[in-house]
Amino acid sequence: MPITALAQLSNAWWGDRLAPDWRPRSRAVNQAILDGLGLTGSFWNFG
Amino acid sequence: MDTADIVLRNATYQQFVALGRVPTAGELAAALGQSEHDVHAGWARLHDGHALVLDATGEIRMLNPFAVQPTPFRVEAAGRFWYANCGWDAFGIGSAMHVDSTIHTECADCHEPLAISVRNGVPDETDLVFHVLVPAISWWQDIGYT
Repeated sequence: MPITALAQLSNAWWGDRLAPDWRPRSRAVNQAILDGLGLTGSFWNFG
Repeated sequence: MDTADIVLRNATYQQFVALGRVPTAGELAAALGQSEHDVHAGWARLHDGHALVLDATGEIRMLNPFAVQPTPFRVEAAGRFWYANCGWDAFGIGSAMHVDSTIHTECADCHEPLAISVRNGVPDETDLVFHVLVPAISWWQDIGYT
């Protein structure tokens, strides 16, 4: 993927990592992050 | 993942950023009013829950997106240098800290040195590509390889 897309993915994926009230995300939420960025198909599916 | 382990995980990350290094079990035990044994046991449960990564000795190896040992991905952010586990994690350091960053690495193909500035979440380089080699379903089979 172009690094412009990687930057968007990174912002969505890591943006909450240091939040003082961080809680784990569900697989469904993680999948929705990928789906929202157009990262769909079997390669990007968590199963 | 229970509340106590989440508190431990969050304290571990917060102290890592504040100290610029992995906090010791003793430091976290003192901060949280626990024993070092409890901290190590909590880290082990967090490892099993993919909230952090331990090495074979039970010490912290990764606090994703941060690497705790030097790697080929050196990131300048918030006034200091950090190491990332991979290219995605390198972008992740600035994302996690909500600051601008500069990623120092090299092309995996030709080994040309790269310095990528990221401002407001947008890289200044637009013609580079990033390869994800491992399908998502397999990422945690060997997170170090991934």
